[in-house]
Amino acid sequence: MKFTLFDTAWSTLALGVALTLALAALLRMLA
Amino acid sequence: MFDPESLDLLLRWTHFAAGIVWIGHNYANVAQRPRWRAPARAELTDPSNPAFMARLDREHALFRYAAIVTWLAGMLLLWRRDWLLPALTMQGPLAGIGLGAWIGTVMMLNVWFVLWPHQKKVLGFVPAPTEERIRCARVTFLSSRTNTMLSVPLLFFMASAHHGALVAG
Repeated sequence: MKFTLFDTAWSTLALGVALTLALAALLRMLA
Repeated sequence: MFDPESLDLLLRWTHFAAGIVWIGHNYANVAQRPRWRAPARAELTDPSNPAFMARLDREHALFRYAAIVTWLAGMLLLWRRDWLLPALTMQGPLAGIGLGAWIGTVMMLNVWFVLWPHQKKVLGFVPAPTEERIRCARVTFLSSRTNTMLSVPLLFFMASAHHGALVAG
């Protein structure tokens, strides 16, 4: 089965943080 | 006791407590089994297999219902302040909590409409061929990890609603 970034705890957390920063930046830009 | 302020506190408390029950389950899962491992056939087909029994023991409807309680309490919190519509349409200073509410909604739907139907096959509650059950185990893993990941921005936007710095009012 193909490895994804969800396959380790740290990469899952890193994805979450990256998504947070991206959404926060987007929100600031649009607000 | 049940003046508007008390109701707000009660809903907030419920929202936090149910949220911890729900998302705490995701975090415990990440800590206990950080890496994906496909289940062996015997793990799914032999009811006396310890790994299968452990899998069954981890199934608690509590987490799924905690998701509904968390979501409902959050929506009621917004509704009783007349914030529901402006939050969900992400207007002005309510954009942050609105985004949090949308992420939470996606997570709740993910639990009920992606994870649970597949989990029912993995555990044999719904009959399915073994290959299909192994495939479903991978789907439940990815669905669970998606919610773990989404909880990070959700908590950020929930916290930002009380620190006002993200979007000026």
